[in-house]
Amino acid sequence: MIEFFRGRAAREDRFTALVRPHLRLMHRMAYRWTQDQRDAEDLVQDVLTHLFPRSGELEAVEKLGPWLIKVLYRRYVDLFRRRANSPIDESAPCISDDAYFQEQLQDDRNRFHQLELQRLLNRALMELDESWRDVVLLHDVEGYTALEVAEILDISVGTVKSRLHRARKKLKSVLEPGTVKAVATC
Amino acid sequence: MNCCQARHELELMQRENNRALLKHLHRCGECREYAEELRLVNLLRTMPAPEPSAQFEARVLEAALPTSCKKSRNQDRTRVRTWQFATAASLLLAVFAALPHWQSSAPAMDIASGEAVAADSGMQAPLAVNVSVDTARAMEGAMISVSLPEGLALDGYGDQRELRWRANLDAGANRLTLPVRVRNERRTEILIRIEHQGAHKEFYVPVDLPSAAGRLENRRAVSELQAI
Repeated sequence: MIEFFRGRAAREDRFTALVRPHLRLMHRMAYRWTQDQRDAEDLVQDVLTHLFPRSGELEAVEKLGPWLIKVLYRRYVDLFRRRANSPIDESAPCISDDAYFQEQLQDDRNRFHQLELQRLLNRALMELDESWRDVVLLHDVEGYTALEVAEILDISVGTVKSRLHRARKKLKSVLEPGTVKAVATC
Repeated sequence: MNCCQARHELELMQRENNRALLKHLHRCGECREYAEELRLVNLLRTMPAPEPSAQFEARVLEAALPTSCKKSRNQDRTRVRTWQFATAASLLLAVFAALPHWQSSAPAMDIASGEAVAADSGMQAPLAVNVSVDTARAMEGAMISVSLPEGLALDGYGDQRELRWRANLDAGANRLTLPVRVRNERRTEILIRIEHQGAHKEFYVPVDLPSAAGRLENRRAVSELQAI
């Protein structure tokens, strides 16, 4: 009955045009962090809700993809990580989404070995120190440059490289001969 | 084979490495390290992730929009459009306001001519009252209240004379369109109140009604800005 502020439709369309190309990437990244598909969708939705009033700011951003991931990361830390670290909230810490890999393994026998290794790597990632994990997820898994990772996480490029080096060293142990066999028999 | 050649071979990612490479890796710890790292990065780079559920994009975008926006999109769009094009008259009243420090200026007033639409149910067709609210800055979640006098009703809201809803105001001009049904033909006023972060502003929008014959009275009206 009441149409309030007709200019909003145009603003809404602009907002949609800006963020839509990045939604799947945001979902994937949210999933990497939360290891839960529903949480990932909720996180993306929450970020968009907060961003809509800042549509004008979005239009001025040069590289919107990494910028959105940075906003997503901050929101993830606020909503999930701080809550998980709270002594009051006994929420379970982030654990790897083994169920997803289990589905994949059933569906894709040909890549069994690779998927099994990746499942192990995913578990190992979730057991890493959070600050190391963030760097690996962004740099090695999603392919952001060290400079972009530094910008997203608000740390120096040097710190990105050193964390990456340490994290990879730890993750390599997962790939050592015998590891897969030992886990596969469980 | 030297280290440079060995790393090049490794980067080619051939499933079956040649004998020279294997021989080099057997004796070169650095290249073995490099090979392991390459394998690790390749596995990480192809780490699978689930696809979002069906309609994910549409759903999150829809949910991200403010309630007033969704309401107007989902429920009222058709009706509003019909109503906009079939109005008996259009009254455009510019009201300049700024929160929290309200400023007022002489409002620009323009009465557009239009054709009266046949009355239904014994009442005249709705009158489109368009109010333009200028704000100096964006106001997220502003509360809009509309109070109607006895002689007016909002189309589709029966006898309800008080309406309140939240909306985000952009900096600059924002336009509010009210489909008003006239119950009597006296000149009257609609009270609009905008609240945001503890500050509020009320103003009266005069409504010049069309005559009984459906002619428009092209009279100038004066709006009053009252800072409360």
